[in-house]
Amino acid sequence: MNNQIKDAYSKIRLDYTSQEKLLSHILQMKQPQKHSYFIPIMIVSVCLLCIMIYPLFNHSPLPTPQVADTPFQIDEHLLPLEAKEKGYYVRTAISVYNHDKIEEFLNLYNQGKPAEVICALYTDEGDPIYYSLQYLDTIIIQIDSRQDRFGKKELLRFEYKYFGYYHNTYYAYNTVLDETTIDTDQCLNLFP
Amino acid sequence: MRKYHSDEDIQALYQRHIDMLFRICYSYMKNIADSEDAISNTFLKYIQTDIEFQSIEHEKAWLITTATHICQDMLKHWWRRNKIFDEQTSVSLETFAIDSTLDAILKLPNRYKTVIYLYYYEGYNTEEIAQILHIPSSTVRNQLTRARKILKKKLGDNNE
Repeated sequence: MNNQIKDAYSKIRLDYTSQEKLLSHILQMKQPQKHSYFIPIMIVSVCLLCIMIYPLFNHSPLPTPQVADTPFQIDEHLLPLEAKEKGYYVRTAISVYNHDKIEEFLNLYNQGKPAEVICALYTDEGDPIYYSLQYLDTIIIQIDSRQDRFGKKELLRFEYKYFGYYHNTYYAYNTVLDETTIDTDQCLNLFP
Repeated sequence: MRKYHSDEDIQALYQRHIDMLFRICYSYMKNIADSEDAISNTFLKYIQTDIEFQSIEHEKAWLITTATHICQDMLKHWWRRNKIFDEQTSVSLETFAIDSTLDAILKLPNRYKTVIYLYYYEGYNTEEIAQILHIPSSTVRNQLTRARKILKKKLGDNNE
């Protein structure tokens, strides 16, 4: 029986043409394996390229402001020139610095784009009251008056819908900006 | 670092073992097309692993075990289990004659096929078969005895 079984097995044979076809099929199966890293590498490369060129196409002069989780506060008693150096809009009794910052803020606000500016308004005694103005759908005003030696030392936060200019003064308000809303404190007087 | 098998490696392996693999796969699958699929899957497994064979015998043992498992898996597949073979209407594409002995071998239960092939065709003894298939040698002996009994019954006692 041994030889009979061996002879029977000997008959099972794939012809030459089929063998060649099968080999080429197997070698074809290998091809995707060779390039299996190609697609992930391409995706990563494109992502890196996008990250690198993003700043070139991002013409927004200011980064998009985010509403801070923690209250706005500046813990230093900055002199007007120090505040100017930091890029804040500065207004003292006798001078104004970085007026372009507030203009930039107003331009962006008028275009409906997110904007942010920090202001340092000095009291007659020379103490800074810091304002943070943010525009992101609404106007968020945060005030840090803790450096004002003769006033209330507090951190305040207000939210208004609009920003306007009335009788040489900037206001933040919710409905209309007129004598009545100004007299009844329905708006916030920011600075002249 | 993962090692990839070159085309030359695959080709050399294929040339060395295609006949053996085809015999094993055909004994399970009983048709050329499925046997070719099983061989392709065996080589696909080889391509996907970074195995480095220590000897030709190691290489042979790995291919026998892998091909056997692949054939058994293919036979377990739901599609094959639910497929109704109509032997009367199917067209035979085999390029070799299937005599009564080969027919009896093909009709053996699947669990005996690799053992029978390795013992009778490749000439391995039961210890070597046990090593190749990672099963106890007593199991190999039992399977051989049962397979022989079936074959004798089918082929007749005078073939002994």
